[in-house]
Amino acid sequence: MSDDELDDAIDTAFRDAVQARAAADRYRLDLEPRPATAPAMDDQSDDSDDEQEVDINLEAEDTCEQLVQLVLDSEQWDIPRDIIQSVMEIDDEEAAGRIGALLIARATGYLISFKESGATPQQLDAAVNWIGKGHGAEHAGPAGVVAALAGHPDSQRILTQRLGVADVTLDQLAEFLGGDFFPAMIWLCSGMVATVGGGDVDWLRQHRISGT
Amino acid sequence: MEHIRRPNLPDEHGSLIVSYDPVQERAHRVGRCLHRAADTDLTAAVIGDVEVELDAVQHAELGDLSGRSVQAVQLTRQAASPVQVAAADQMLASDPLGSDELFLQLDPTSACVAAAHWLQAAAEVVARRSGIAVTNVVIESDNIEALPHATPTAVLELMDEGMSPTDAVTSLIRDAMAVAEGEIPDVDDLRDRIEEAEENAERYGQGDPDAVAELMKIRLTPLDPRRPARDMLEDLLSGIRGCWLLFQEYADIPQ
Repeated sequence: MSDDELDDAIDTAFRDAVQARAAADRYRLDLEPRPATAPAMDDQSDDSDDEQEVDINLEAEDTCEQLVQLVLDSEQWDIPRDIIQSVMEIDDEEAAGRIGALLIARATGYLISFKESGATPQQLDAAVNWIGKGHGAEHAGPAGVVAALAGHPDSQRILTQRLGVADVTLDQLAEFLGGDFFPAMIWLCSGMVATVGGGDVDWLRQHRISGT
Repeated sequence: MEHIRRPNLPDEHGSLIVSYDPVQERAHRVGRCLHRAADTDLTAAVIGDVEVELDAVQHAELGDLSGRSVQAVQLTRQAASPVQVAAADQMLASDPLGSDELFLQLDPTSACVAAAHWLQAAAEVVARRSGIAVTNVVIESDNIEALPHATPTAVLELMDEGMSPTDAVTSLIRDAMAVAEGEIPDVDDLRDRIEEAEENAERYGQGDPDAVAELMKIRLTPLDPRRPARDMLEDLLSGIRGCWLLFQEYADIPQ
């Protein structure tokens, strides 16, 4: 390749990359609504321009199932954290609040459904242990805490002791876990899919509560 | 238009009513000139031309810079027109390094908004390739080729803090327009910069009056207050070019 051809190739690569980036983030120009989708997740170790992008409709009924699938497939357990962080960074506060509340409501629905369908403490323990063995206490701990919503008596007891209240409300649980509240629910769902659902995310669908 | 047709004229005592509104008073003056000329054809021609001019202003306000409205490219407006932003975005999509059309056909503030968006995209691409922070890429490219890095870096920093391109561009232009009016846009910021300059002068300028004078230079705005929007557009396009230069430096050489 001659020097001129090389310069042309570099120039084309720059223009293509910038055009792709500008087009992907065109909502920044305020000419169109900001998409309610997760932003690109940069893989810093990848030197190529091919960014790993995840396009999830955060307002879809099956958002949580998509997220669980993504977490299990990619083994990137921080994805739910990135997503909730991105939602909080949406310029439109009203939209951020609405989407954040929707995500939490939908994730809570799965855990309530676990409880109502009779998930046993042993099943919930197995899910939390599976998370702990594979991905550490950083993720298993919060998942164990939100197991209280799925009816785990030990989790409920520990929470009431820690918070010093007879019955822990959803708000208190959210405050207790902070930014990990929503991720913890996705992690527990992932653990349940892996252990009770045989690794098939379709198993989770039976616990989806419509209308949230 | 009514003032041109029927201007205030001196009464029998030689008194003349003068409007406090300078635009209206200028219209009265034109009207008085035409009254003195007493030429119906001339009056009709002037009124016709003023109507065309006012129509052009209205079109420019709506973002249509066709025909006579193109004069607006020389002006700086605080607000951006979505129509013009979209047109500038389209031009940059054709050529991310920018073209003369941006200066000749569009309202410069709106063109700046689109250019800021494309600068951000270019800076992100280069940052990813080079490992240099997004807000530092233009400064870094200044080591390859001298370019005005202050404005593009200021815009990148504002957008990095979460501002939209529109807010980043219009806030800097608003500040520059305030400076042009003799105002200090942000007293607290100026106070901080004076303190910083004094510290630098004390640290690095001891015994060297020239160095102290240089270190104590503080600009109230990175833009040219006489033509802030066009100045910013030039700088933002230079910033995109800086990203292009840096991209070349870090480009992998194909085998």
